[in-house]
Parts: sequence; structure tokens; C-alpha cells
Amino acid sequence: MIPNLRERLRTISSNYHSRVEDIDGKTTRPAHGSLGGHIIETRWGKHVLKRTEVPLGYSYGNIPFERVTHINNPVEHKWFGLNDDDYRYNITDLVFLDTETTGLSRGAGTLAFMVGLGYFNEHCFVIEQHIMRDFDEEFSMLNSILNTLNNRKILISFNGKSYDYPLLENRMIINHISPHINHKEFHIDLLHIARRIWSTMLESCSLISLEKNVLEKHRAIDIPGRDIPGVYYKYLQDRDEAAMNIVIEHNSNDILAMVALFIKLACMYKDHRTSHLHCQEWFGMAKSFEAQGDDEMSSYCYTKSIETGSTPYTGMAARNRLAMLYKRRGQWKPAIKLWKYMVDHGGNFMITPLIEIAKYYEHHEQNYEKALKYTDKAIKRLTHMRIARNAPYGMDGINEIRHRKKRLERKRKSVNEVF
Amino acid sequence: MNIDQLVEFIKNDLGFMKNITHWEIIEPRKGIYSPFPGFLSSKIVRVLRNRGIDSLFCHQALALDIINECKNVVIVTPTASGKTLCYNLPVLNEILKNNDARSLYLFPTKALSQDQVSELHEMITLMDTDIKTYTYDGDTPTNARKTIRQAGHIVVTNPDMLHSGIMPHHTKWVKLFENLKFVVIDEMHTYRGVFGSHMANVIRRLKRICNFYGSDPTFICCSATIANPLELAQKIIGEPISLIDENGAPVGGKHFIFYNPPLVNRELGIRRSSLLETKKIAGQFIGNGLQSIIFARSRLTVEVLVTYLRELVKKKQGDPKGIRGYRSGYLPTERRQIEKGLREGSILGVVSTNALELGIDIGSLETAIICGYPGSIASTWQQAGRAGRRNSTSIAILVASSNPLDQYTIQHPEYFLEGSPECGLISPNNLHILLSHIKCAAFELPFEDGEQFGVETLSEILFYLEEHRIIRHVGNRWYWMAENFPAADISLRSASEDNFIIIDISLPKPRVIGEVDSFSAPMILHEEAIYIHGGIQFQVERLDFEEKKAYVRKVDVDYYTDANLAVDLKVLDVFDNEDMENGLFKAYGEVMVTALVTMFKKIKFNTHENLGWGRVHLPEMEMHTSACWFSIPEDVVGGFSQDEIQGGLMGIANLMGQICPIFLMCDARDINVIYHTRSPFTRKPTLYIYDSYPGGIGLSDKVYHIYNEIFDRCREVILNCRCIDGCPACIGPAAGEQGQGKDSAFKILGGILDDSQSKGEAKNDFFQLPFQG
Repeated sequence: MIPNLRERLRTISSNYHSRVEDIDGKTTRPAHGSLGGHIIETRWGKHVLKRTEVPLGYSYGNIPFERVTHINNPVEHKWFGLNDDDYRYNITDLVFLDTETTGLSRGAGTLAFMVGLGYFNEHCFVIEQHIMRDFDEEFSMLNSILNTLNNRKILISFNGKSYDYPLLENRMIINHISPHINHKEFHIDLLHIARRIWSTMLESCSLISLEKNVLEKHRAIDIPGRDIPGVYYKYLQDRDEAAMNIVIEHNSNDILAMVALFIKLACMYKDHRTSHLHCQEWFGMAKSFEAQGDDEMSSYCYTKSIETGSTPYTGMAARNRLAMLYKRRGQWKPAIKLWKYMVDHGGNFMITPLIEIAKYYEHHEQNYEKALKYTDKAIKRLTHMRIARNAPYGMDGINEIRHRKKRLERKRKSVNEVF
Repeated sequence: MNIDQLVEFIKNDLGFMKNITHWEIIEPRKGIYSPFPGFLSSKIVRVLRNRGIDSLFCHQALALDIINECKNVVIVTPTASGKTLCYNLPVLNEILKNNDARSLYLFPTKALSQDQVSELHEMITLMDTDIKTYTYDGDTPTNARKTIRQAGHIVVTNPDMLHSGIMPHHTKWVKLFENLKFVVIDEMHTYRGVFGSHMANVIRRLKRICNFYGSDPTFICCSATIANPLELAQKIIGEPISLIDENGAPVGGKHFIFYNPPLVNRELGIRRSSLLETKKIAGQFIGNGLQSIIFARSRLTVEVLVTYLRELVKKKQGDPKGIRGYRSGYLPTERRQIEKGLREGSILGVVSTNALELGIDIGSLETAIICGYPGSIASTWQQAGRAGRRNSTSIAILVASSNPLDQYTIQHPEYFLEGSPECGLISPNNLHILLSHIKCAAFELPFEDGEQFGVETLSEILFYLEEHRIIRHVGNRWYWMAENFPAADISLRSASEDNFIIIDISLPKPRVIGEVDSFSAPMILHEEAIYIHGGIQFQVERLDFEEKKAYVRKVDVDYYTDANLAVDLKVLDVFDNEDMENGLFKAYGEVMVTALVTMFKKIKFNTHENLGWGRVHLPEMEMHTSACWFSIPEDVVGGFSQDEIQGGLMGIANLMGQICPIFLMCDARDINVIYHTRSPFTRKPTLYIYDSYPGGIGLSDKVYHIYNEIFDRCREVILNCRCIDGCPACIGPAAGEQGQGKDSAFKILGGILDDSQSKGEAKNDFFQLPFQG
């Protein structure tokens, strides 16, 4: 032993002295309580399992769970970003996942100390919360969730594609559990879908924000996600279950919120002909359909967004995208109509529609006179805008337009010479 | 003129020759060859033959044999001896045999990694096989990372990325770690001091992870010449390793010329500036169309020399763009462009800091001019090696500056030519560093009871961390239990890695033109500083210290700026101390060094006269390191005035800073000496010698033990220096200005020396300055 190793350790690590004060000797204290659940003995050790049954008559916010039975699959597969068009799932094939972790960084050393799983059976919705009361219970916990996870075909999470799922994968590898989870192809990440629809409408697309604004649910007690690792570390020290119970409730609420959000999204799809949505929601849906290549649904939703349009920005954005969609399909008439509307009503910043109209006249009607007229207008607006805002719009942009103008003038000249 | 003509010309130039203290001719040598070993794939042999390689150099063949037996090897041969083939061949050979095999290449810098990958690509393309080689570093695009993790046969990266970007995410790299056959550590000599001590711990972590995934890689290390390659390699990889140090590659002839600028003032011991002499010599070489590299010790000298040489070229109607600077702070694209220009010959002269000392491929140059002794024998050989490769004669010139180490070297070329090069010293068990990596390792995989991590005291450290709730012991394992990500807070390089960026605001659209490490930033980027980049002057208008941004504007002035650094030190803890018989008190312990830039001077180009000064208001920088200190007994300085004490101590401090590296076999920048005329800690006049690295790397510990020899050597230098009261070659002119500095320094040294320990008679002319001209 190096003499006074402890002394030297103390001098070089003075920054964590503040944390030491309340320590009395040995810090590892085994847990005796069961956090409101049951201690289960498994082949792999033991951990705590808390099982809760939620009747189908339950509503989370404005979403009654029984509407889950009306979901009409597989038509909405694409809507949820699934690949397999043919597979028809039962409600009992779904499994909802949410983990609580010992840190927020990604990396091999961050653990899930609680894995919450939710699934439907014949008569209710079941929440299984697997909890490790100390690091040595992780092995049992991870092995135990595999059955529930792997017996159900479709995994549903909120940000699970980049967080919960890879984290569990890491921990399975570190615990030499193999083969492990197999949900890669059938994984619905509700965050991605929600973002497409609500990102323009809401400041944040966090589960809490969606819950408040879309599901109209307000949690009575909750804990911010960033405080959760600290609660767990405190529990490891003092074994006080009160704060942990709040985390357990937070986890089950997250799962319930995911179920409600899933139902909400499925219904938005299913009932789109009859729903009453906000113009921004229509816009978001339209974008989603467009991303999936469903032009018909997409143009329907853009039109709906324009019709219900109460915010000028969304109205113009929807017209812009719808016009481009028409253009792509060669439907010039409605496209031109939309562009002209934008030019007349959209204010001086509408440059793109002018260019698009000019392109149309140049390439489809060979009407260089008209094309030049719109190009000139674009240059004028752009110059005006550059002066007005005193900001470089992007020299490339204006150079491109000037280039177009030169080309058009050349073409016009050669046409005039022919005649 | 070609090289031989130039050599003749110089020999006839008496004005030049009288400044030459030594002319070493290194004879050309033929290569020693070995046939390709039988186990080398015919595919590889074919490609080599197509490139005109019909056999291996003997050191390459030996390396291949050893590696073929899965034994670790370290190869130490000079620049351009074909070291890369020593690892590329076994690695490619293995992948051809087993397509699952993986290799990890570690280079100290990103630039070297990119070089390596392009060379490998070339070979792989010729072999017409599907071997995937990727660089994985901070510049790798996110969308490419997944492919690299899954499919890269050869992953080329740097220790920093391995430490913070790969190992903490080892579960994403299962394929690599399960099948890791080779770990290549090139430029191993750069892993010295703190960086090397970190590196050894990074490798400990790497081996732990490999062990977890069931692989046991062979290590292949390459190094420039150092005194202790075997010891350094063993310490870094923590395993036995074989040494290959016999070079089989042919060597071209070389003229190694030692040039000492003439004295301009004997009394003050002032010589002509090494910078101006370098300018003259380089101008002559470049003017004769010889492609040259000029090494300067600081970024500032680089830029000043670029400016001078461009002027010279312009006068001769040449293209000033043929002269380029190269140093840290240039952006990668600019560097690549310069390297390419050098290879293609469109750049005739490059002025560089030691940034080009490493194995970056710039082709072979004809002459190398080293402005100022680079501080270590190993560096000097590396820099000289940049001129002349296998088959041609080349010239290397070392131009000495006035400082004692330079003067010693230039007048004692045998110290340089026959002496042993420096040691690569590391101390992987430096508690500071060790503790950092134990935390990282615990995050990566829980420690098992009884596990080793380079030290026997691991369990004790783990217990300590457990008490501080960083780690938790449960069920025979030690788990990481903190919210943060430990690798993120730990930098492998000494100072903070957060660089300051330099933004040119003279353009309508501001542009980033360079970056500077945060420790140097206050020196170089204080407000009003002239920052020279690529020979163009910029003035710093605003330094946003919090945001680490400096806003500069192009200017055209006839001066540059030089900042003054005020250093102070506070003792934190004493590990050991002793009262010597003659009243000297010595101690060794931990200290906090603070550095503060207080003012800067404006210095005129060419004449180097002082044009004025300005104040700098910037926060202090702090460093926690180890030091030893010596308190002078009252009776030794009894009759001295305050000025005499100050002058004497300043002189000894200056001199010791130069002399210590000779005894420690370290770079002059690794160690620093400061003094207190009345130390707040010992209440006596005190000299402190500290390691210039956080945590320390054992240099001052060594001084603590051999101090008497160092003091003795210092006294000799003063005794034999014929200047009147201090010159750059002994205690420094500034110390002399403080009343009787030279005399008091000599008396103080006499008072604290223990003559019973010293070797007695002075080695008279050993340090004497011969007068020339």
C-alpha cells in the first residue's frame, strides 16, 4: 500500500468533498422493502415486479382506452412508419415500453433501473414495472422482461428508437444476455410521428407537453425526468421508498400517456374524413402522408389545412407544399392557381411562387414574355427585401435568378429573330 | 545549384564557415534486404512487386516474423525507413486470411490518421479486395459512423476519440472488440509525460474491454529514436514486448552543420539573432531553388520568418506563395493543401513548428534548417530527418540561439551526436490520471472484486470512490453510480481541449481563420495583439474569453507583439522534505501554479526594437502539479541587499531552467523554475522547480534527488562565462541588470552546494564560450 494514499486521494479530489458529509461508514445497505410490488425470485436472481391492471373503461385525458378495439389495421401501418403491410396485428400484440435510467448520457455505463412494460389482454390493460433495488438485481430484471417483450410483435415507445431501446440493448450485451430483444422492424416511436404533426403547433413535443395540449390531461404529482437518477441514487443510500414511489407513478403515467397518444394518432388517421382538427394538425398530417408517398391523403389534408386556416403562416405553407405536390404530379392548373394566390396575398417575401410561375411559362408554354415578367418581379422583390432587412438573402439565390433572366432574354431574342 | 554545388559553395564562403562549430558528414548506407516471408499472401506480394518492391528491409521482415507469432513488437527506426509496412502488411495479411479480423490504428493527431488511410486505400485498391478502412474521429459524419462500427476492418483513430467516443460506447462496437487482432500505436514517442500517462491508462481500459469480448490483440508500436523505447512501450501496453531497432533501409548521405551566429557584443555575450541568420541561410537555399523546410520553435517565429522569406522571394521576382507557414492553428484544409504543395513541389519553402516533425507525408525535401535547438535530441533528429530520404544527399543546419542549452549543444556536438536521446518518461500511476481512468473504466464495465488495473491498490481506490458515492460495491462488483459521463470531463492532453477560435471580421462575412489552445490564448490573442496568420497580420479587436472567441481585423503594421507571462506558485502539500547539513532546506510536494498575462510589448520587425507596450486584463490560468523547492539559508544571503538576492535568484532560476533538461533528458518546456525572494511558505529565499504538466510526471521528483549535481553544473557555467554581468548564455541579461546578479548567483550557489558530494574539479572548458571571429 502506498503510504497515505487516502490523504493523496483527498487532496486531488477535493471537488467531491461536499458530497461526503452525511456518510457514516459503510454505504451499501441492502433493500428490504418491495416498493409497493412483489419481490420475485427468478432463475437469474431476484428483483421487484409491480403489476397494475387498468380496466378498458379507463380514460387517460380525453382518450377512452376502449377505442383501441376500433383501430382498423393494417391500413395505418404506413402511418406508424411500419414496413410490413401485410401483417395484421391484434391489440394484444402491442407492447409499450418506458425505462427510468441512472443517468441521462448515452454510454455503456448508464443503466435502466426500472423497465415499465404495458400490454392489452382480453379484459384489461396491464402495466408491469420491473425494478432493480440494487445493481446486482439487473440481471434478473433484464432476463425477466425478455418474455413479455419478445412475445409481442409490436413495440411502442416514446423516443425509444434513440434512447430506451439502444440502452436496453447495451445492458443486455454487458450482461451477456443473448439473443435479446427482437423488435427492430416493428417499433413505433410515437415521438417521431407526434413531431411531424405537432411540432409547428406546440413549443415542445415532449410527452408532458403533448399530454397537456393534445390529450388534455394534467398530472397531479410528477417529477421532472432530469431529477430521476438522483432519486434512485438517494434510494440506494437511504432506502426511503417515498420518492421512489413518485418515480414509479411517473413511469406508469408515461406508459398510459403513450397508450392514449397511440389511440389518438390511430383515430386521427381512421377518422380523418370526419375529424375536426386544427389547421396546423391538418398540415402536420399532410406532411406525414406526403413523407409516406400518399399523395391523395396528403392533398386532402393540405386542402383541409387551407380551409380551416386561421394562421396566415400555415395557410401559405400548406399552399406552397400543395402546389409543389401538384407540380410533381403534373397538375399545372391548380398549381398555378395556388402560386398566383400566394403572389397576390402572401406579401413581398413570396419569391418561390414567382420563380415557379416563371419556370412554368418558360418550360411549358414557351411564353418568355410572361416568364420574364415574373422573373423581374422576383428580382425586384428580392432586392427590395435585401435592402429592407439589410441581410444577405444568399447571393446564390439572386445570382440564379439573374442567370434565369439572362437566359430568358436570350430566348426571347431568338424567338423574335425567327419571326 | 544542386546540393553538391551548394556544399562546395558554402565551404568556400569564409564568412559562413567561421561560424560553423562542427560539420558532420553522415555517409550514405546501403540497405539490408530480406525476402518476403512465406506466410505473406501472394496477393500482397504481387502488389508490392508491382510497386517495385522486390524484398523487405531486414527490420520489416523481422517485425513480420515476430508479429506472425502473435507477439508484441516495437519498431524504432528513423524517418522514411518503411515503418508503416511493418504493420500494414501483417494487418492486411490477417484480413485476407480471416475476413472477420479487425484492427485498430492509433495516431496522436487527426492529420496523421488521414495520411495513413489514404496510403492504405491505395494499397487496398491495388490488391482489388474489399477491405474497409475508415478514420473515426471528431470529423467523421454521424451518418457514416454506424457503418464504420459495423463493417470497418481497420479503424483509424486517435487516443482521445478512443477514450471518449469509442470505449464508453463499446456495446456499439461489438464486432470490433470481439475480433480485434491488432492494435497499432504509431509515433509512440509522442506519448510522453501526461499524454503518455493517459495513453497507458487508455490502453489498460482497452485491454479490459477486449478481455470482456474475448479478444487478445497483438500490439505493434512504432517510434522515433528515444533512449528507452522498450521501457516506454512496456509501460504503455502493460505487457512484454520485443524491440526492433536495426534499420535495414538505405540512408542517403547527409551534411549536418552546426552553425553558431557570430557574437556582436562580447561583454554582454550577445550573438546575432538566430532568426535573422536563419532568414539569411534559408534565403540562400531557397534562392537556389532547393526545396527547404525551416523549423522554428514558436508559432510567432514561424510567422515572422514567413514574412521575411516572402519579402526575399518577392525581391527576386519569385512567387511569394511558394513560401508557406505550417503550425497548429491552421485549419485542416489549409494544412492538407500545404502538404500537397510540398509533395508536388509547388511549394519551395515551408516554415513550421514541430507540427511537421511527425510522420506527415510531405515527400522528401532537400534541406532542413532548424532555427534554435528544438529542446531534445530526438526532436532534432526528427527535424533533420525531414531533409533527404533514401537515395539523395541532403543538408541539415542547426542554427543556435543564445540560450545556454543551445550554446551547450552547438559547442559540444558530441553531446548531440553521440549522446543518448531523451527518455520517454511516463507515470501511468500518477494518482490524478489513474483515478480519472478508473472512473471511466467503471463506467464502461463494472470492476470485479480482485480485478487489477495496473496497480495493486485498486481496491483501496475503489473503496475511496465508494465512500464518495461515485462507485457502488454490491454483489462482488463495483458499479459506476453517478449521473455524469466521466470521459467527457477528462482530457488526455495536458491543458483544456477547448480551443479559442479566431474570427476575421475585416471581411463582410466574418470567417474563422484559425484556432489556439486555451492555455496559449491569453499570450497570443489578448486585445491589441498582432496575430500573424499565413504571413498576414491581424490585430485582435476583441477577445471574448467566456465564449473563447477572438475577433481580429487585417492590419498592415511594421511590428509584432510579444506578451509577458507572470507565473506564481503556491504550495499545497509536502510529500517529503529534508534539512541538509549546510543549512539548505529541500522539499518535494504538490503545488498550484498560476500564470497571468499582464502586459505586452510591441517589437519592430527587422530591428527588433521596442516600440511601446500595453496592459492585458485577463483571468489567471491555474495548474495543479508537483514541484521541488530549495530554501536558501539565512547565512548564505546574510549580507545581500534585496536587489542582490533578487538578481541572484533570478539568474539561478534562468540558468536552471536551461540546465535541468540535460540531466532529466526531457524537453526544456517540460520543466520550469521560479523563485521567491521571501517565500510565503518557507519564509526564506526559495527556488521552485515544477513539472509543466498537471499532476506532474516525476521530473521535479528527480531534481529533488540530484539537485547537487545540477547546482554544481550551474556554478561551472557561471564561472566559465566571460561576460561581465550576465548574458543570454548564462544567467540571462535581465538578471544581470538586477545589481550584481552574476556575482550573487555565483555566491548563492557556492553557499548551498555540498562540495563533498560534487565531483570536485570543474570540467573547465566544458561550458566555456569560445570566442570566435
